Amino acid sequence: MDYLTTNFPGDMSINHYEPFRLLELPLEVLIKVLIFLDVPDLISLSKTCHYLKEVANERFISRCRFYYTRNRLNCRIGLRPDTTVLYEQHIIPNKDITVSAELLSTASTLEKNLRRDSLSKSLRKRPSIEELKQKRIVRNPDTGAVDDIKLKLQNEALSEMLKLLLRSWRFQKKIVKSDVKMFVENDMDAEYMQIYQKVLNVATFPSFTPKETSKKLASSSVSSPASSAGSSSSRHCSVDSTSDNSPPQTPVMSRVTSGDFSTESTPDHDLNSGDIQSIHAVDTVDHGIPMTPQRGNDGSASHPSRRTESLNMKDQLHSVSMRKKYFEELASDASHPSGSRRSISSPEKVLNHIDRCKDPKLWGKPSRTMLKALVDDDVIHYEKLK
Amino acid sequence: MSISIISSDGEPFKVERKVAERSVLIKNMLGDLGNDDDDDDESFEVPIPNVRGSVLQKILEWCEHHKDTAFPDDEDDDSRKSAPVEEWDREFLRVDQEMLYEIILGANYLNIRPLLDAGCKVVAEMIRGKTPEEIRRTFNIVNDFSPEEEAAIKRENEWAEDR
Repeated sequence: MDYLTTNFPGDMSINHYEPFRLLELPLEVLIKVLIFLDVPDLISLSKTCHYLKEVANERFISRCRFYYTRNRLNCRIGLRPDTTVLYEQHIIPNKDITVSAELLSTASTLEKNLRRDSLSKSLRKRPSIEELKQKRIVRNPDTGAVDDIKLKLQNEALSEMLKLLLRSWRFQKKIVKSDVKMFVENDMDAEYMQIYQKVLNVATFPSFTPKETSKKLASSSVSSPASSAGSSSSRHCSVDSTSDNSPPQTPVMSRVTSGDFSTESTPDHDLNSGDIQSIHAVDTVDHGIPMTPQRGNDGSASHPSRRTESLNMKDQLHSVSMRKKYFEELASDASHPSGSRRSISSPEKVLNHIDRCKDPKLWGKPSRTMLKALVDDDVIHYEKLK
Repeated sequence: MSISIISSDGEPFKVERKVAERSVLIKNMLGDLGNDDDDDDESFEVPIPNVRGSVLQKILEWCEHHKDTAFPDDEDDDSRKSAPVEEWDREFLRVDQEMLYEIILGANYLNIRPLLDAGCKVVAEMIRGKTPEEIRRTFNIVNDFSPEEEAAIKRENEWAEDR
Protein backbone atom coordinates (compact mmCIF):
# COMPACT_ATOMS: atom_id res chain seq x y z
CA MET A 1 0.00 0.00 0.00
CA ASP A 2 2.10 2.84 -1.33
CA TYR A 3 -0.50 5.49 -0.62
CA LEU A 4 -0.44 4.75 3.08
CA THR A 5 1.22 7.85 4.37
CA THR A 6 0.13 7.94 7.97
CA ASN A 7 0.53 5.38 10.70
CA PHE A 8 -1.22 5.37 14.01
CA PRO A 9 0.51 3.95 17.02
CA GLY A 10 -1.58 1.18 18.49
CA ASP A 11 -1.74 2.57 21.99
CA MET A 12 -2.62 6.13 21.01
CA SER A 13 -5.34 7.58 23.21
CA ILE A 14 -7.36 10.68 22.60
CA ASN A 15 -6.28 13.71 24.58
CA HIS A 16 -9.00 16.34 24.49
CA TYR A 17 -6.82 19.09 25.87
CA GLU A 18 -3.95 18.86 23.43
CA PRO A 19 -3.73 21.38 20.67
CA PHE A 20 -4.06 20.44 17.04
CA ARG A 21 -0.91 18.66 15.95
CA LEU A 22 -0.20 20.69 12.87
CA LEU A 23 3.45 19.74 12.65
CA GLU A 24 2.56 16.04 12.70
CA LEU A 25 0.32 16.26 9.68
CA PRO A 26 1.71 14.48 6.61
CA LEU A 27 3.43 16.87 4.25
CA GLU A 28 0.85 16.52 1.48
CA VAL A 29 -1.96 17.25 3.93
CA LEU A 30 -0.09 20.20 5.40
CA ILE A 31 0.43 21.60 1.90
CA LYS A 32 -3.31 21.18 1.23
CA VAL A 33 -4.02 23.21 4.35
CA LEU A 34 -1.56 25.89 3.30
CA ILE A 35 -3.06 26.15 -0.19
CA PHE A 36 -6.21 27.58 1.40
CA LEU A 37 -4.22 30.40 3.05
CA ASP A 38 -3.42 33.85 1.67
CA VAL A 39 0.12 35.22 1.28
CA PRO A 40 0.14 37.29 4.53
CA ASP A 41 -0.97 34.23 6.49
CA LEU A 42 1.73 32.17 4.83
CA ILE A 43 4.30 34.79 5.83
CA SER A 44 3.08 34.70 9.42
CA LEU A 45 3.26 30.92 9.37
CA SER A 46 6.78 30.99 7.96
CA LYS A 47 7.89 33.08 10.94
CA THR A 48 6.90 30.45 13.48
CA CYS A 49 9.54 27.73 12.96
CA HIS A 50 12.03 26.31 10.47
CA TYR A 51 9.83 23.46 9.32
CA LEU A 52 6.78 25.60 8.63
CA LYS A 53 9.03 28.19 6.93
CA GLU A 54 10.20 25.57 4.47
CA VAL A 55 6.70 24.30 3.85
CA ALA A 56 5.22 27.80 3.45
CA ASN A 57 7.96 28.73 0.97
CA GLU A 58 7.34 25.54 -0.95
CA ARG A 59 7.38 26.21 -4.63
CA PHE A 60 4.39 23.98 -5.10
CA ILE A 61 2.17 26.32 -3.09
CA SER A 62 3.25 29.34 -5.17
CA ARG A 63 2.63 27.47 -8.37
CA CYS A 64 -0.78 26.32 -7.17
CA ARG A 65 -1.65 29.92 -6.40
CA PHE A 66 -0.38 31.07 -9.79
CA TYR A 67 -2.38 28.46 -11.74
CA TYR A 68 -5.43 29.09 -9.61
CA THR A 69 -5.24 32.84 -10.31
CA ARG A 70 -4.57 32.32 -13.98
CA ASN A 71 -7.57 30.03 -14.35
CA ARG A 72 -9.79 32.49 -12.53
CA LEU A 73 -8.55 35.36 -14.70
CA ASN A 74 -9.21 33.39 -17.86
CA CYS A 75 -12.78 32.85 -16.74
CA ARG A 76 -13.26 36.50 -15.75
CA ILE A 77 -11.63 37.96 -18.89
CA GLY A 78 -14.28 36.24 -20.99
CA LEU A 79 -16.98 37.98 -18.96
CA ARG A 80 -15.57 41.51 -19.41
CA PRO A 81 -18.06 44.06 -20.83
CA ASP A 82 -17.51 45.60 -24.23
CA THR A 83 -15.88 49.04 -24.52
CA THR A 84 -19.13 50.41 -25.97
CA VAL A 85 -20.97 49.43 -22.80
CA LEU A 86 -18.24 51.00 -20.66
CA TYR A 87 -18.42 54.21 -22.69
CA GLU A 88 -22.22 54.35 -22.35
CA GLN A 89 -21.90 53.95 -18.60
CA HIS A 90 -19.31 56.79 -18.50
CA ILE A 91 -16.62 54.49 -17.18
CA ILE A 92 -14.17 55.23 -19.99
CA PRO A 93 -13.89 58.68 -21.59
CA ASN A 94 -13.61 57.54 -25.18
CA LYS A 95 -15.19 54.76 -27.14
CA ASP A 96 -12.08 54.39 -29.20
CA ILE A 97 -9.45 53.07 -26.81
CA THR A 98 -6.77 53.52 -29.44
CA VAL A 99 -6.75 57.29 -28.78
CA SER A 100 -3.41 58.08 -27.25
CA ALA A 101 -3.08 59.13 -23.66
CA GLU A 102 -1.22 62.23 -24.80
CA LEU A 103 -4.20 63.41 -26.83
CA LEU A 104 -6.52 62.82 -23.92
CA SER A 105 -4.29 64.78 -21.56
CA THR A 106 -4.15 67.65 -24.05
CA ALA A 107 -7.93 67.69 -24.27
CA SER A 108 -8.18 67.67 -20.51
CA THR A 109 -5.70 70.58 -20.23
CA LEU A 110 -7.63 72.61 -22.79
CA GLU A 111 -10.86 72.03 -20.96
CA LYS A 112 -9.28 73.13 -17.69
CA ASN A 113 -7.89 76.29 -19.33
CA LEU A 114 -11.30 77.09 -20.76
CA ARG A 115 -12.92 76.79 -17.36
CA ARG A 116 -10.19 78.88 -15.74
CA ASP A 117 -10.58 81.67 -18.30
CA SER A 118 -14.33 81.73 -17.96
CA LEU A 119 -14.07 81.82 -14.20
CA SER A 120 -11.53 84.64 -14.19
CA LYS A 121 -13.73 86.60 -16.59
CA SER A 122 -16.67 86.20 -14.26
CA LEU A 123 -14.56 87.20 -11.29
CA ARG A 124 -13.48 90.40 -13.01
CA LYS A 125 -17.13 91.41 -13.28
CA ARG A 126 -17.55 91.36 -9.54
CA PRO A 127 -18.50 94.70 -7.95
CA SER A 128 -15.77 96.39 -5.96
CA ILE A 129 -15.80 96.52 -2.19
CA GLU A 130 -16.47 100.25 -2.28
CA GLU A 131 -19.56 99.68 -4.39
CA LEU A 132 -20.78 97.05 -1.99
CA LYS A 133 -20.19 99.37 0.92
CA GLN A 134 -22.12 102.10 -0.81
CA LYS A 135 -25.02 99.77 -1.44
CA ARG A 136 -24.79 98.62 2.16
CA ILE A 137 -24.32 95.02 1.12
CA VAL A 138 -21.02 94.97 2.95
CA ARG A 139 -20.83 96.69 6.31
CA ASN A 140 -18.60 99.72 6.33
CA PRO A 141 -16.44 99.51 9.45
CA ASP A 142 -16.14 103.32 9.66
CA THR A 143 -19.79 104.26 9.38
CA GLY A 144 -21.30 100.85 10.03
CA ALA A 145 -22.70 101.60 13.47
CA VAL A 146 -24.21 104.88 12.33
CA ASP A 147 -25.67 103.20 9.26
CA ASP A 148 -27.23 100.49 11.36
CA ILE A 149 -28.91 102.97 13.67
CA LYS A 150 -29.96 105.03 10.71
CA LEU A 151 -31.50 102.02 9.03
CA LYS A 152 -33.22 100.98 12.21
CA LEU A 153 -34.71 104.41 12.69
CA GLN A 154 -35.80 104.56 9.10
CA ASN A 155 -37.48 101.21 9.43
CA GLU A 156 -39.23 102.31 12.58
CA ALA A 157 -40.39 105.50 10.92
CA LEU A 158 -41.59 103.58 7.90
CA SER A 159 -43.55 101.12 9.97
CA GLU A 160 -45.16 103.91 11.98
CA MET A 161 -45.99 105.71 8.80
CA LEU A 162 -47.53 102.67 7.23
CA LYS A 163 -49.60 101.94 10.31
CA LEU A 164 -50.95 105.42 10.27
CA LEU A 165 -51.65 105.37 6.57
CA LEU A 166 -53.47 102.12 6.90
CA ARG A 167 -55.52 103.32 9.81
CA SER A 168 -56.54 106.47 8.05
CA TRP A 169 -57.38 104.63 4.89
CA ARG A 170 -59.48 102.09 6.71
CA PHE A 171 -61.21 104.82 8.56
CA GLN A 172 -62.08 106.61 5.34
CA LYS A 173 -63.29 103.47 3.71
CA LYS A 174 -65.55 102.62 6.61
CA ILE A 175 -67.20 105.97 6.45
CA VAL A 176 -67.72 105.66 2.73
CA LYS A 177 -69.08 102.17 3.05
CA SER A 178 -71.45 103.16 5.81
CA ASP A 179 -73.06 105.69 3.43
CA VAL A 180 -74.09 102.91 1.11
CA LYS A 181 -74.86 100.65 4.07
CA MET A 182 -72.13 98.24 3.25
CA PHE A 183 -69.65 97.09 5.76
CA VAL A 184 -66.72 95.21 4.46
CA GLU A 185 -64.26 93.82 6.92
CA ASN A 186 -61.00 94.18 5.08
CA ASP A 187 -58.13 92.00 5.79
CA MET A 188 -55.67 94.05 7.77
CA ASP A 189 -52.64 92.25 6.53
CA ALA A 190 -53.69 92.43 2.90
CA GLU A 191 -54.20 96.16 3.15
CA TYR A 192 -50.95 96.65 4.90
CA MET A 193 -49.10 94.69 2.25
CA GLN A 194 -50.86 96.59 -0.50
CA ILE A 195 -49.74 99.93 0.84
CA TYR A 196 -46.32 98.65 1.67
CA GLN A 197 -45.89 97.47 -1.92
CA LYS A 198 -46.88 100.86 -3.18
CA VAL A 199 -44.35 102.50 -0.93
CA LEU A 200 -41.67 100.11 -2.09
CA ASN A 201 -42.52 100.77 -5.70
CA VAL A 202 -42.02 104.47 -5.25
CA ALA A 203 -38.78 104.72 -3.33
CA THR A 204 -37.13 104.24 -0.03
CA PHE A 205 -38.24 106.20 2.95
CA PRO A 206 -36.60 109.59 3.30
CA SER A 207 -34.90 111.06 6.28
CA PHE A 208 -36.91 113.43 8.36
CA THR A 209 -35.41 116.55 9.85
CA PRO A 210 -36.58 119.14 12.31
CA LYS A 211 -35.71 121.83 9.82
CA GLU A 212 -37.95 120.27 7.26
CA THR A 213 -40.69 119.90 9.80
CA SER A 214 -40.53 123.54 10.67
CA LYS A 215 -40.30 124.32 6.99
CA LYS A 216 -43.33 122.17 6.45
CA LEU A 217 -45.20 123.90 9.20
CA ALA A 218 -44.19 127.23 7.76
CA SER A 219 -45.26 126.25 4.31
CA SER A 220 -48.58 124.99 5.59
CA SER A 221 -49.04 128.20 7.54
CA VAL A 222 -48.43 130.08 4.35
CA SER A 223 -50.54 127.95 2.18
CA SER A 224 -53.49 127.66 4.50
CA PRO A 225 -54.71 131.17 4.02
CA ALA A 226 -54.24 130.74 0.34
CA SER A 227 -56.34 127.62 0.43
CA SER A 228 -59.05 129.35 2.37
CA ALA A 229 -58.90 132.07 -0.29
CA GLY A 230 -59.58 129.53 -2.98
CA SER A 231 -56.08 129.05 -4.33
CA SER A 232 -55.35 125.60 -5.74
CA SER A 233 -51.59 125.73 -5.34
CA SER A 234 -51.33 123.96 -1.98
CA ARG A 235 -52.36 120.80 -0.33
CA HIS A 236 -54.61 122.43 2.23
CA CYS A 237 -56.53 123.81 -0.62
CA SER A 238 -57.15 120.32 -1.83
CA VAL A 239 -58.27 119.23 1.62
CA ASP A 240 -60.70 122.05 1.91
CA SER A 241 -61.94 121.69 -1.59
CA THR A 242 -62.43 118.02 -0.96
CA SER A 243 -64.46 118.67 2.11
CA ASP A 244 -66.39 121.30 0.22
CA ASN A 245 -66.96 119.40 -2.99
CA SER A 246 -67.64 115.96 -1.61
CA PRO A 247 -70.33 115.99 1.03
CA PRO A 248 -69.71 112.51 2.43
CA GLN A 249 -66.14 113.48 3.24
CA THR A 250 -66.09 114.18 6.95
CA PRO A 251 -63.90 116.67 8.77
CA VAL A 252 -62.10 113.79 10.34
CA MET A 253 -61.16 112.66 6.92
CA SER A 254 -59.91 116.10 6.13
CA ARG A 255 -57.84 116.06 9.24
CA VAL A 256 -56.39 112.73 8.31
CA THR A 257 -55.63 113.96 4.84
CA SER A 258 -53.95 117.03 6.23
CA GLY A 259 -51.93 114.77 8.47
CA ASP A 260 -50.93 112.84 5.43
CA PHE A 261 -49.99 116.04 3.82
CA SER A 262 -47.75 116.90 6.70
CA THR A 263 -45.95 113.67 6.39
CA GLU A 264 -45.86 113.69 2.66
CA SER A 265 -44.15 117.00 2.54
CA THR A 266 -40.99 115.28 3.63
CA PRO A 267 -38.29 115.84 1.10
CA ASP A 268 -36.65 113.76 -1.59
CA HIS A 269 -39.48 112.11 -3.42
CA ASP A 270 -43.16 111.58 -3.93
CA LEU A 271 -43.45 108.68 -1.58
CA ASN A 272 -46.44 109.88 0.35
CA SER A 273 -47.89 111.73 -2.53
CA GLY A 274 -48.21 108.39 -4.27
CA ASP A 275 -49.98 106.91 -1.31
CA ILE A 276 -52.22 109.85 -0.82
CA GLN A 277 -52.97 109.95 -4.47
CA SER A 278 -53.96 106.32 -4.32
CA ILE A 279 -56.16 107.01 -1.30
CA HIS A 280 -57.73 109.91 -3.11
CA ALA A 281 -58.25 107.69 -6.08
CA VAL A 282 -60.15 105.23 -3.93
CA ASP A 283 -62.26 108.00 -2.55
CA THR A 284 -62.93 109.34 -5.97
CA VAL A 285 -64.08 106.00 -7.22
CA ASP A 286 -66.29 105.55 -4.20
CA HIS A 287 -67.96 108.90 -4.62
CA GLY A 288 -67.96 108.97 -8.36
CA ILE A 289 -66.32 112.39 -8.30
CA PRO A 290 -63.15 112.77 -10.33
CA MET A 291 -60.46 114.21 -8.19
CA THR A 292 -56.89 114.74 -9.28
CA PRO A 293 -54.10 115.08 -6.83
CA GLN A 294 -53.31 118.73 -6.45
CA ARG A 295 -49.95 118.43 -5.00
CA GLY A 296 -46.57 118.80 -6.57
CA ASN A 297 -45.95 122.54 -6.41
CA ASP A 298 -45.13 122.74 -2.74
CA GLY A 299 -42.46 125.13 -1.73
CA SER A 300 -40.56 122.38 0.01
CA ALA A 301 -40.49 120.30 -3.13
CA SER A 302 -38.99 123.19 -5.09
CA HIS A 303 -35.79 123.19 -3.05
CA PRO A 304 -34.15 119.81 -3.45
CA SER A 305 -30.75 121.16 -2.40
CA ARG A 306 -31.98 121.70 1.13
CA ARG A 307 -33.09 118.14 1.39
CA THR A 308 -29.68 116.66 0.81
CA GLU A 309 -28.20 118.07 4.00
CA SER A 310 -26.34 115.50 5.98
CA LEU A 311 -27.75 114.75 9.38
CA ASN A 312 -26.11 113.89 12.57
CA MET A 313 -27.50 111.29 14.89
CA LYS A 314 -29.01 113.74 17.31
CA ASP A 315 -31.07 115.33 14.61
CA GLN A 316 -32.27 112.00 13.40
CA LEU A 317 -33.32 110.83 16.81
CA HIS A 318 -35.06 114.08 17.39
CA SER A 319 -36.86 113.91 14.09
CA VAL A 320 -38.11 110.42 14.75
CA SER A 321 -39.34 111.24 18.22
CA MET A 322 -41.07 114.30 16.87
CA ARG A 323 -42.69 112.34 14.10
CA LYS A 324 -43.82 109.69 16.49
CA LYS A 325 -45.39 112.30 18.68
CA TYR A 326 -47.12 113.78 15.71
CA PHE A 327 -48.43 110.44 14.52
CA GLU A 328 -49.65 109.56 17.97
CA GLU A 329 -51.52 112.77 18.12
CA LEU A 330 -52.95 112.09 14.73
CA ALA A 331 -53.94 108.57 15.68
CA SER A 332 -55.66 109.78 18.83
CA ASP A 333 -57.55 112.27 16.72
CA ALA A 334 -58.59 109.53 14.39
CA SER A 335 -59.75 107.34 17.25
CA HIS A 336 -61.83 110.24 18.64
CA PRO A 337 -63.42 111.68 15.54
CA SER A 338 -65.88 113.87 17.43
CA GLY A 339 -63.09 115.76 19.19
CA SER A 340 -61.12 116.23 16.06
CA ARG A 341 -64.19 117.31 14.18
CA ARG A 342 -64.69 119.98 16.71
CA SER A 343 -61.10 121.08 16.75
CA ILE A 344 -60.22 121.26 13.05
CA SER A 345 -63.50 121.12 11.28
CA SER A 346 -63.65 124.74 10.17
CA PRO A 347 -61.03 126.75 8.31
CA GLU A 348 -60.86 129.19 11.23
CA LYS A 349 -59.91 126.42 13.58
CA VAL A 350 -57.35 125.19 11.16
CA LEU A 351 -55.86 128.65 11.09
CA ASN A 352 -55.85 128.78 14.88
CA HIS A 353 -54.13 125.51 15.01
CA ILE A 354 -51.50 126.66 12.56
CA ASP A 355 -51.01 129.90 14.48
CA ARG A 356 -50.50 127.87 17.56
CA CYS A 357 -47.90 125.93 15.76
CA LYS A 358 -46.24 129.10 14.58
CA ASP A 359 -45.87 130.48 18.07
CA PRO A 360 -42.88 128.80 19.67
CA LYS A 361 -44.07 129.69 23.14
CA LEU A 362 -47.08 127.51 22.72
CA TRP A 363 -44.96 124.53 21.74
CA GLY A 364 -43.79 123.89 25.28
CA LYS A 365 -40.09 123.40 25.64
CA PRO A 366 -38.42 123.86 22.26
CA SER A 367 -35.79 121.31 21.72
CA ARG A 368 -34.81 122.21 18.22
CA THR A 369 -33.85 125.11 15.99
CA MET A 370 -36.95 126.95 14.93
CA LEU A 371 -37.21 128.49 11.52
CA LYS A 372 -39.63 130.99 10.27
CA ALA A 373 -40.60 130.79 6.65
CA LEU A 374 -41.21 133.86 4.56
CA VAL A 375 -42.92 133.28 1.28
CA ASP A 376 -42.39 135.48 -1.73
CA ASP A 377 -44.48 134.05 -4.54
CA ASP A 378 -42.61 130.87 -5.41
CA VAL A 379 -39.54 131.30 -3.18
CA ILE A 380 -39.46 130.57 0.51
CA HIS A 381 -36.89 132.20 2.76
CA TYR A 382 -36.11 130.88 6.19
CA GLU A 383 -35.18 132.81 9.27
CA LYS A 384 -33.96 131.38 12.52
CA LEU A 385 -36.32 132.11 15.41
CA LYS A 386 -34.72 133.04 18.68
CA MET B 1 -24.80 -5.25 -1.54
CA SER B 2 -23.49 -4.25 1.84
CA ILE B 3 -19.90 -3.67 2.71
CA SER B 4 -18.42 -4.47 6.04
CA ILE B 5 -15.62 -2.09 6.93
CA ILE B 6 -13.34 -3.26 9.66
CA SER B 7 -11.48 -0.64 11.67
CA SER B 8 -7.92 -0.92 13.00
CA ASP B 9 -9.22 -2.09 16.35
CA GLY B 10 -11.35 -4.79 14.66
CA GLU B 11 -14.71 -3.13 14.94
CA PRO B 12 -16.91 -3.90 11.87
CA PHE B 13 -19.16 -1.29 10.28
CA LYS B 14 -21.77 -2.55 7.82
CA VAL B 15 -22.72 0.09 5.28
CA GLU B 16 -24.30 0.30 1.88
CA ARG B 17 -21.96 0.03 -1.06
CA LYS B 18 -23.03 3.48 -2.17
CA VAL B 19 -21.99 4.94 1.18
CA ALA B 20 -18.71 3.04 1.23
CA GLU B 21 -17.87 4.18 -2.30
CA ARG B 22 -17.63 7.79 -1.06
CA SER B 23 -14.12 6.61 -0.31
CA VAL B 24 -12.19 6.38 -3.54
CA LEU B 25 -9.91 3.86 -1.86
CA ILE B 26 -12.77 1.41 -1.20
CA LYS B 27 -14.35 2.14 -4.56
CA ASN B 28 -11.15 1.25 -6.41
CA MET B 29 -10.66 -1.80 -4.24
CA LEU B 30 -14.16 -3.11 -5.05
CA GLY B 31 -13.59 -2.37 -8.70
CA ASP B 32 -10.28 -4.19 -8.71
CA LEU B 33 -11.85 -7.23 -7.10
CA GLY B 34 -14.57 -7.34 -9.79
CA ASN B 35 -17.53 -7.14 -7.44
CA ASP B 36 -19.63 -4.83 -9.54
CA ASP B 37 -22.90 -6.73 -9.07
CA ASP B 38 -25.15 -4.81 -6.66
CA ASP B 39 -27.61 -7.64 -6.33
CA ASP B 40 -25.06 -9.91 -4.81
CA ASP B 41 -26.10 -10.63 -1.24
CA GLU B 42 -22.64 -11.67 -0.30
CA SER B 43 -21.13 -9.35 2.31
CA PHE B 44 -17.77 -7.92 1.41
CA GLU B 45 -15.25 -7.10 4.10
CA VAL B 46 -12.76 -4.26 3.74
CA PRO B 47 -10.12 -3.87 6.46
CA ILE B 48 -9.01 -0.33 7.24
CA PRO B 49 -5.93 -0.80 9.42
CA ASN B 50 -5.03 2.87 9.80
CA VAL B 51 -8.32 4.22 11.17
CA ARG B 52 -9.66 3.58 14.62
CA GLY B 53 -13.26 2.50 15.19
CA SER B 54 -14.46 5.80 16.69
CA VAL B 55 -12.92 7.81 13.85
CA LEU B 56 -14.22 5.40 11.20
CA GLN B 57 -17.70 5.68 12.65
CA LYS B 58 -17.51 9.45 12.35
CA ILE B 59 -16.23 9.25 8.79
CA LEU B 60 -18.99 6.81 7.81
CA GLU B 61 -21.53 9.18 9.33
CA TRP B 62 -20.28 11.86 6.98
CA CYS B 63 -20.42 9.42 4.03
CA GLU B 64 -24.00 8.46 4.94
CA HIS B 65 -25.06 12.10 5.00
CA HIS B 66 -23.38 12.88 1.70
CA LYS B 67 -24.16 9.67 -0.12
CA ASP B 68 -26.29 11.52 -2.69
CA THR B 69 -24.41 14.81 -2.75
CA ALA B 70 -22.86 15.79 -6.06
CA PHE B 71 -19.46 17.31 -5.27
CA PRO B 72 -17.51 19.33 -7.82
CA ASP B 73 -15.00 17.53 -9.94
CA ASP B 74 -11.67 16.83 -8.31
CA GLU B 75 -9.95 18.69 -11.12
CA ASP B 76 -12.05 21.80 -10.61
CA ASP B 77 -9.74 23.57 -8.20
CA ASP B 78 -11.54 26.89 -8.64
CA SER B 79 -14.88 25.88 -7.16
CA ARG B 80 -13.25 23.63 -4.58
CA LYS B 81 -11.12 26.43 -3.20
CA SER B 82 -13.61 29.26 -3.34
CA ALA B 83 -16.53 27.29 -1.88
CA PRO B 84 -16.89 27.83 1.89
CA VAL B 85 -17.34 24.95 4.27
CA GLU B 86 -20.93 23.76 4.35
CA GLU B 87 -22.79 24.47 7.56
CA TRP B 88 -23.45 20.78 8.20
CA ASP B 89 -19.79 19.94 7.63
CA ARG B 90 -18.74 22.75 9.96
CA GLU B 91 -20.93 21.36 12.70
CA PHE B 92 -19.72 17.87 11.92
CA LEU B 93 -16.10 18.96 12.33
CA ARG B 94 -16.79 20.83 15.57
CA VAL B 95 -14.94 18.17 17.53
CA ASP B 96 -11.88 18.11 19.72
CA GLN B 97 -8.54 18.78 18.07
CA GLU B 98 -7.38 15.17 18.22
CA MET B 99 -10.54 13.89 16.55
CA LEU B 100 -10.22 16.55 13.86
CA TYR B 101 -6.63 15.54 13.30
CA GLU B 102 -7.62 11.86 12.95
CA ILE B 103 -10.58 12.62 10.67
CA ILE B 104 -8.25 14.54 8.35
CA LEU B 105 -5.78 11.66 8.35
CA GLY B 106 -8.57 9.11 7.85
CA ALA B 107 -10.09 11.11 5.01
CA ASN B 108 -6.68 11.36 3.43
CA TYR B 109 -6.11 7.64 3.78
CA LEU B 110 -9.58 6.64 2.55
CA ASN B 111 -9.25 9.29 -0.20
CA ILE B 112 -12.46 11.12 0.59
CA ARG B 113 -11.57 14.40 -1.05
CA PRO B 114 -14.56 16.56 0.01
CA LEU B 115 -14.11 15.59 3.65
CA LEU B 116 -10.37 16.22 3.45
CA ASP B 117 -10.99 19.65 1.90
CA ALA B 118 -13.47 20.55 4.61
CA GLY B 119 -10.99 19.46 7.33
CA CYS B 120 -8.12 21.41 5.72
CA LYS B 121 -10.30 24.52 5.41
CA VAL B 122 -11.19 24.31 9.09
CA VAL B 123 -7.49 24.08 10.00
CA ALA B 124 -6.67 26.95 7.61
CA GLU B 125 -9.27 29.07 9.37
CA MET B 126 -7.48 28.38 12.64
CA ILE B 127 -4.32 29.91 11.11
CA ARG B 128 -5.90 32.78 9.15
CA GLY B 129 -5.38 36.31 10.47
CA LYS B 130 -3.08 35.29 13.32
CA THR B 131 0.35 36.62 14.16
CA PRO B 132 3.30 34.21 14.30
CA GLU B 133 3.15 34.22 18.08
CA GLU B 134 -0.55 33.45 18.10
CA ILE B 135 -0.02 30.60 15.65
CA ARG B 136 2.69 29.22 17.92
CA ARG B 137 0.35 29.32 20.89
CA THR B 138 -2.54 27.75 18.96
CA PHE B 139 -0.56 24.78 17.66
CA ASN B 140 2.01 24.56 20.44
CA ILE B 141 4.95 25.28 18.11
CA VAL B 142 8.38 25.91 19.56
CA ASN B 143 10.22 28.90 18.13
CA ASP B 144 13.50 27.47 16.88
CA PHE B 145 14.73 30.66 15.17
CA SER B 146 17.74 32.54 16.44
CA PRO B 147 17.38 36.34 16.75
CA GLU B 148 19.54 36.81 13.64
CA GLU B 149 17.34 34.46 11.67
CA GLU B 150 14.24 36.25 12.84
CA ALA B 151 15.71 39.57 11.72
CA ALA B 152 16.60 38.06 8.35
CA ILE B 153 13.06 36.70 7.90
CA LYS B 154 11.65 40.07 8.82
CA ARG B 155 13.81 41.74 6.16
CA GLU B 156 12.76 39.16 3.59
CA ASN B 157 9.09 39.82 4.18
CA GLU B 158 9.20 43.57 4.53
CA TRP B 159 7.47 43.98 1.19
CA ALA B 160 4.33 42.38 2.58
CA GLU B 161 4.29 43.99 6.00
CA ASP B 162 1.67 46.62 5.23
CA ARG B 163 -1.34 44.55 4.47
